[in-house]
Amino acid sequence: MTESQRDLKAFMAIAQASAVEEAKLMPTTPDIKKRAHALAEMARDRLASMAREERAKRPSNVVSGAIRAAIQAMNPAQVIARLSELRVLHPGMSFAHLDYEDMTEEDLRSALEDAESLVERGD
Amino acid sequence: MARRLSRPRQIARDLLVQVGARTPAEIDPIETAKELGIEVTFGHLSGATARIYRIGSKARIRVSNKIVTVGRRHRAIMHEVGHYVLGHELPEEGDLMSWFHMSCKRRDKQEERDADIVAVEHLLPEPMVRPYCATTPIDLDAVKPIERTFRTSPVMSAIRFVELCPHACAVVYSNHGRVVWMKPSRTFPSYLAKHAEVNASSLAGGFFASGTLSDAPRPLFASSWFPESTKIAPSAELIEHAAVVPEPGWGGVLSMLWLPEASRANA
Repeated sequence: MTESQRDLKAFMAIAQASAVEEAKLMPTTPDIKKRAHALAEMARDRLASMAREERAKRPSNVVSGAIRAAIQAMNPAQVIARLSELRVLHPGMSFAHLDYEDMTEEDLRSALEDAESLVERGD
Repeated sequence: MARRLSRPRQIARDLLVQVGARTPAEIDPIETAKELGIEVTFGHLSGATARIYRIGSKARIRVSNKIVTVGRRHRAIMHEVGHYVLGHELPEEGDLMSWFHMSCKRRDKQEERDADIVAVEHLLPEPMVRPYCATTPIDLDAVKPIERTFRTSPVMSAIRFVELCPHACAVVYSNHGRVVWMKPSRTFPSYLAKHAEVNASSLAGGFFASGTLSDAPRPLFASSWFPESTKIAPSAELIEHAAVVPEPGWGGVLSMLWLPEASRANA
């Protein structure tokens, strides 16, 4: 959660507590319900807009899928050996497939490309 | 009182709030991945639709460049995000070859279903989609507004349509003359078993026999699809609208079935 989201959340919590206390002393009419709903929707719209704006400031998460030349030049045994090394260096390394059918040599290389890229990426 | 949602559905809805998606146009699985710090890449992957690689909290989803439609790309990304947010464990231990073998196996069926639920509920949220599902007549054209508005695949959109449709309809995917799966609406009175033979008098069956398929909905006797049903009269009218699914890994026929009489009786 960002700082502005936290501020807005705190503000909303105070406003809500105050409104609940006030509501205990007055009858709820359809008009009040309608206005309360509109207010809540407006707050949700604003929060959503802030979330989108904050994310838009961050760099794109769509990255190149190209396999680097050094990996392209490796044979399958070399790729597996390098994956094995990375696994020792990063014990939490894992991967899984959707609709898996088989692992071609190129798939093996793209697996290593993804692993190397993740290792190189900062936190 | 609002009904309690299952964990995958609740997570999918919470993610919509987190990413600030309040309208269909704001739903984008790449943005959802970005919110979670997951990289997305489109590139070489021929033996699977997608792959997720993780090192601790860092993750990258690779979507096969064989998948060219936006709808299927969205589903693949969101399915993998589903595994991520549900905290499904990936194999980490064992010797290299057993680790490799486990990573290439299909995952646990329940985990697959839950990741699919996250994908469907996030890409096609019930409160946004339900208004599109009360329409008649029911055919594949009725599903197109969902495909266009939410940028989802024809198959995913059709399944969501029947899930939320109050009328008696069902979507059936068949291939090589056999039923692969069927998804009925809550009010559809019968069911087709997997591997059931598709009758040649149905549109799908006609396609398997002749290789041609009409692109218009057609009224049939219900016995064309349900010859042995005790819940649907053989002479009841059934409307079928069918299309070939041209995507890699598919190639069969998607049929939307509608029982207008049952819909009127339920109304």
